Amino acid sequence: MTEAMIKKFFAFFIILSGCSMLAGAQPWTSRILQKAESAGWEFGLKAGFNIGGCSPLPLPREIREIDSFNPTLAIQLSGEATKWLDPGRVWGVTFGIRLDNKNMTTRAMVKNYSMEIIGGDGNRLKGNWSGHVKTDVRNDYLNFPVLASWKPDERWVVQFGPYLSVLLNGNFSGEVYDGYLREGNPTGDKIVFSDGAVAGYDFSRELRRILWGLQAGCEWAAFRHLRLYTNLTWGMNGIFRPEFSTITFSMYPIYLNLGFGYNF
Amino acid sequence: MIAASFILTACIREEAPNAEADILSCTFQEDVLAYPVNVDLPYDYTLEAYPIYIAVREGVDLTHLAPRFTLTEGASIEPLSGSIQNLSEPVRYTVTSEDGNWQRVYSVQAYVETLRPIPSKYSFETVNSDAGYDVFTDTDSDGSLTWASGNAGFKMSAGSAGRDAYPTSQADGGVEGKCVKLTTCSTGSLGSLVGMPIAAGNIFFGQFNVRDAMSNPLGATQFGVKCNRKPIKLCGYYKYVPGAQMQEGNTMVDGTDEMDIYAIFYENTDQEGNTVMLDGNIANDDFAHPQMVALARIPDHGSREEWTYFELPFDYARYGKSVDEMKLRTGGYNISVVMSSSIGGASFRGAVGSTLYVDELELVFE
Repeated sequence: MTEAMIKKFFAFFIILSGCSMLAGAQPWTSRILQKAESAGWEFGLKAGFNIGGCSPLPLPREIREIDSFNPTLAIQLSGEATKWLDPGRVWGVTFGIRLDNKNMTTRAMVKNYSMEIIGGDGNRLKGNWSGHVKTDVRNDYLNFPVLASWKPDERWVVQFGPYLSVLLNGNFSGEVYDGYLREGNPTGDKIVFSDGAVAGYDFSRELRRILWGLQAGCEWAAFRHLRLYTNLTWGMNGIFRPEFSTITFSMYPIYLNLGFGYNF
Repeated sequence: MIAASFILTACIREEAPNAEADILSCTFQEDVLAYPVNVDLPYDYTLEAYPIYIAVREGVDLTHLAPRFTLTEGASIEPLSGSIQNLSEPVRYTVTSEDGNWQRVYSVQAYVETLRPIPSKYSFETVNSDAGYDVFTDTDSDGSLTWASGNAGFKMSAGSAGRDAYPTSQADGGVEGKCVKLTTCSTGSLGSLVGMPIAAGNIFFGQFNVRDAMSNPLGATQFGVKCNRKPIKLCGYYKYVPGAQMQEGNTMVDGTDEMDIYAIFYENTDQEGNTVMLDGNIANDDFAHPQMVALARIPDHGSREEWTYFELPFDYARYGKSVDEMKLRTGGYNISVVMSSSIGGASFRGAVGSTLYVDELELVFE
């Protein structure tokens, strides 16, 4: 994600938290909140970090070594509304809207990894790669979770449910280096990449626009308004369009989120 | 982050069996070879196999040879390595990969190393296009020679191109019949991805190693075939039209493109007896090399709209070496004729569209 987008996210968060501060001061907003609360609604804002990756499951046998893995600075911002269904406020449904970055940078060693590079002009180079692969993922998603919320005691809330993701901005690119390509198949011409020879690839246009997944997590009320939360989001779709066959295995976005929440 | 790396590393599964099925080397227990066997020759569409030619010394019985092969780890070969074969005719060996899914077929043949002369005249009438591009073979009463070119490298970037869209192709309108057309081509988006945005049309005596095309493009063009006669001059006809816009890598620069035609004659072993094969670096090194014996090079590299005759004498004086008769007869010298549509093509400097036509080439020997 770009720096500009990070700034936008922070601005969004600050404005919303500003609103929440005002809520106490402005009689009409506090009246609305009070009214909503008495009808069983509760509102909150969350901000945190995303740590994880887009990974095939299980790791395919072509991957021989992970040289490095960097989740990079990926953030998550969300607003949530919970409607408690029982007077004791134990069970509820939570609707959310969440912006997040799903990022990673990895360097891996692969053996006999099927790949195809498709140039902008339609030229293709297909083959089996043995050597190093660097992958950069920078995806921004807008998510809409619908969760079951369970409040076993005053301080804890446990949530579980599905979410829908819309890709706002996607980048999946990288390069291959230090290895060799067998053109077409493992018996094809051997083309060695050494001495700094690299070939770039960019599959950003092959990313799936709409995905869904499941998430589970919990939050803990440290103070009256301040919460600590964590949740695991597990993509049920591969991050690529189903027609995309260059990467022969599906990669699923799996991220752990850690952060703070503010409840009105 | 480190913890995450450990978790991922822990998930790495057992390595899959090898899918490759290569012959990595071919040797003999007895000392029968005239020189080491090259197991990396390009696929031969006529033989429908990867050819391996085994040059043996005089007096060796071709019908009782037991070649020993090393293979990709885990691969198997049929007939067996070390089994006695009649290699006076091609024998087909099939290598099967460790995972059993892939096979490579080799055609192995032995011959007694005697020097066969190369042709004197080259008229570019005969091509084989099975590979998807033109491969020229010239044959005259003296002998036969198949030209090498960088087309196999271009194929990687533009596999779908028609044969006449390759940098090296046959064209109509020669001085007599057809001729060879060398064009500097754009390698499109894939070429740019690997930092090789143009491919100059080239043709030469020797071998193009597609394996080295990415990492060492100058070394990929191996210049030279054995020559048992002393060359005096190189003659022929050419036409040349430089392309409109010069570029250096991906950067547009000022200037006009130039072509090149030259021939080198050199000793194919050094003082210690090691094999010497000159490559694309020789022009960058201003043709200075301890094994160089003579150079014939066109003096004017500029444009010619009409067919123009050239006659290039081999300059022996520059290197101050005499040609050893004995060495000449036993195959101690190599020759290569090299032509390119962009003089800086090996360094990706040239103009897309620069076109050099050559026809009715002749090597005059003493």
